[in-house]
Amino acid sequence: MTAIALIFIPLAAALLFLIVRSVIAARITALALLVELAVAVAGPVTTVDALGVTFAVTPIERFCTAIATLVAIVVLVASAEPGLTPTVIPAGLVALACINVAIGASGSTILDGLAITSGLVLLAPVLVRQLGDSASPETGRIYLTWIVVGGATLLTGRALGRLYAAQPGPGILGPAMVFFIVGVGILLAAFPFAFWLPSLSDESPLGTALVVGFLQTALTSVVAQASAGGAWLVTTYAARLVCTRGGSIAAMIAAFLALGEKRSGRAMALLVGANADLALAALVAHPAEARVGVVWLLGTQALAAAITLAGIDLIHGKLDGLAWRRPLLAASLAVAALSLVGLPLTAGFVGRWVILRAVESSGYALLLGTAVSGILGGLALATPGIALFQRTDAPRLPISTVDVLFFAMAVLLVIGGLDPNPVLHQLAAAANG
Amino acid sequence: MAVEWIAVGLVIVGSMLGGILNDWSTAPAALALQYLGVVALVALTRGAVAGVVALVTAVGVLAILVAPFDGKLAVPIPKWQTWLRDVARHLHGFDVSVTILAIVGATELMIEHPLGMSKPVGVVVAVLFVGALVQFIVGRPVRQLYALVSLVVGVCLTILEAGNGAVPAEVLLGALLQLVTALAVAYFNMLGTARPAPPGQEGYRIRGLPLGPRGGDGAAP
Repeated sequence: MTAIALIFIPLAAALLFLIVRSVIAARITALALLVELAVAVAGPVTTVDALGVTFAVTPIERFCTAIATLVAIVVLVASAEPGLTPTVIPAGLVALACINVAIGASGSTILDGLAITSGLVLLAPVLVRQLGDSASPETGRIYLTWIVVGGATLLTGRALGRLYAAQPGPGILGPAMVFFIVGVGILLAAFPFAFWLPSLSDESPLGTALVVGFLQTALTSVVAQASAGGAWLVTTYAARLVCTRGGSIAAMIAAFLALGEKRSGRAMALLVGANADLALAALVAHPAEARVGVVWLLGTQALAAAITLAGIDLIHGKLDGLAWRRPLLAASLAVAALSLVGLPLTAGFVGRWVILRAVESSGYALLLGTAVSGILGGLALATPGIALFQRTDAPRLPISTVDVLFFAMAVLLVIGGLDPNPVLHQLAAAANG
Repeated sequence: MAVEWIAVGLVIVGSMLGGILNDWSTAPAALALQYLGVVALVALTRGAVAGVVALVTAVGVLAILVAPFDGKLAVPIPKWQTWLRDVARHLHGFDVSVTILAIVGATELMIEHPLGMSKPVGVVVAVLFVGALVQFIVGRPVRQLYALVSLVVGVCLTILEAGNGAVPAEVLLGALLQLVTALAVAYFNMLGTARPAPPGQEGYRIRGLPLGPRGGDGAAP
């Protein structure tokens, strides 16, 4: 029942918001998201069969749903900040329900792709219309195109896999795997396929926070299931070598591009892409060993990316002197950005560490990619970091709810970096069956 | 079997019309032909219930695409003589030849290598995918938005035919995906990103390379 509740709570909240459009409805929406979070964390472990699909909630699904809900809360609160246009809350809630369908549907390899694509396509008009600093129609169209192409590629890979299962024969499994990896790469915005993310995060950071948060948590669940299947992923040594080195090189290039990027939104997008490269490379080359690390890395990155991008939208990209004007928000942005580049004592570091520990026997390319992309990413953060502490004449603003919330999320990232074991053990137990 | 190939023919005609789109006035007719073929094929291969779901989805998608925004129809419905004249006037040799080549190639490929599906369904899936690819590559925004719907229809048909077929949840979510894609496409069309090329610039060029005497940049607003 937990999985079904996680799908219906946001749907009910969206319906309520559509019926009662008022401040009370917005508060009830926030309450519904808190209930959603509580159910995700503490709901009983059950499986439900509905419409031919089994819905289940294992610790991996709990982790993904909890992160997606936290992302929704961050964006909801940030969009309620005075000065920003009102968010199209129902679309975000329905997208969250779709993401929860993708996360919870353990009995269908196709339903997850359908649900992810539907949810993310639904957000396309919202990005252009009313979500923070809105994207231009052209950028919105590019986003829509890549989400549909990525979703279609992922689904084609899944469908070919199902055909292969029904009619074993040569020649189908290879293309199925390629379609799957390319589709996931497009949706995760891994660097060679990250055509849509930098422009979108430059124009609409808040919308991108929602999209990246939802996409990465949903795809975390998808790749965890796929790697459990094993047959999806490459088995030959040469292919593993190519994927590992290719992913590592792509991560380094993405971090290098972030180093030269002046606009903070685009730099964050490139860092997100670099992490996605490392995660995909590890997963393709060492699916069984790297699964827990990849789940952790992508999940915590979703939260870190949501905090940084939503924060950038809140201040309209003006980082100068933020540490004096809004110290809590500045600290939150700094912690989240450092987590994105994998600084020790943050949750992002734990993900990279667990992956490298898991693949240490043959992961030299990954080690190099992780180290170099981390250093380059850290250097890329130097300029915005200095800007944060620049002296300013602007008055200090009173501490607001959104500052406290962002700080609480950043504290979660630090706690995850200091003591990840309680969650990691549960994830490992679930991953190992 | 003959009915199945007639359905395939409808999809091919619809995809060809999509390949020569210059503005949205032709899009609903092209999509209607595609959907008619797809619905017929689904009903023949997957049964009446799946056919009804496909029909309802098709009607929903078309209704979204022609639904009025601000009291005006998103796509003005012209008289058929006017429509035919417009289509004929906007025909370009390059568009027609590339589209025909792609569709013939896709049909040939899927007849030779049916990929575990029945031949008519395989041909339809290939035509939708390859047609969408061509529309993405050589098209202007109006064709690219059209291609998104075609791509999603192709994916949903593939899912229906894969293995032992789709479970009810997949069928429903496939229908939802088509509807939300149509909604997003209609929205971006309304915003004007799918405007027709300005008068005198009805040619096209790929990445700045002018092709033929008409020149112009179809991708530009």
